[in-house]
Amino acid sequence: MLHPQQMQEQQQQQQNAQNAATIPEHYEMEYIQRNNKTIQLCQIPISILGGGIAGVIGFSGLSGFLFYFFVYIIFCSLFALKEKKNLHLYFPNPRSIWFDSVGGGLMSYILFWTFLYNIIHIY
Amino acid sequence: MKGVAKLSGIIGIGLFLHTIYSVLQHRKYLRLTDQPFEGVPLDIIVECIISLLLFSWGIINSQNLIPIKASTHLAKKSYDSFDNRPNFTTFNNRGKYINEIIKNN
Repeated sequence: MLHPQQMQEQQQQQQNAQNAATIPEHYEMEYIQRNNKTIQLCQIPISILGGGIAGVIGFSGLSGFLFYFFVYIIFCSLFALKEKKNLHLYFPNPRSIWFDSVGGGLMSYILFWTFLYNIIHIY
Repeated sequence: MKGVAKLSGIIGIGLFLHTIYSVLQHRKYLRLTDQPFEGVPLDIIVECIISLLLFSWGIINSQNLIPIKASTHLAKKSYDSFDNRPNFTTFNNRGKYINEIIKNN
């Protein structure tokens, strides 16, 4: 049987251990935003080139949009390949790079797709 | 590493421009020989995909990410830089008068 004071101490220690386990890592919002901006900066040129390629090959209709998803998957997998195990250092949720910015480059993709399709296959 | 990445990006753009030129040439050839257009040839498609891979590899590897955990940045700072408060610096001190006295003596 423990002394009441010892019991109290033990309880406090347990509580401290619990608190230490649940304290979240402090993230800097500024750097999170800068990393997201870097991803966007990478994504836009890649989707522009993907749109150009879709125009060159001559996709029209739904297959062009399927090609956009192909380009997006190439982008994401190359990004994950570059930072194999360090992704959790740069993003609070590492899996979010796979579906966070799906529509980020869609507009520039469509612009260059239609542009090159018109240049090559219509005129 | 960054130089290689930039070079591969430039090669990707170059291959892409070459595919545009070759598709235009292919269509012109078909028009001159009165053949119907049935899709782009396979070698041009392969060249396109290679150019896309090279360009995206180059773009992704030329960018740097920053670690977001605050402890990694705070560990590099010294305590003096935290303790420094420029707002509390005073410029109205006795130094002016002491300097005069020292000069006169």
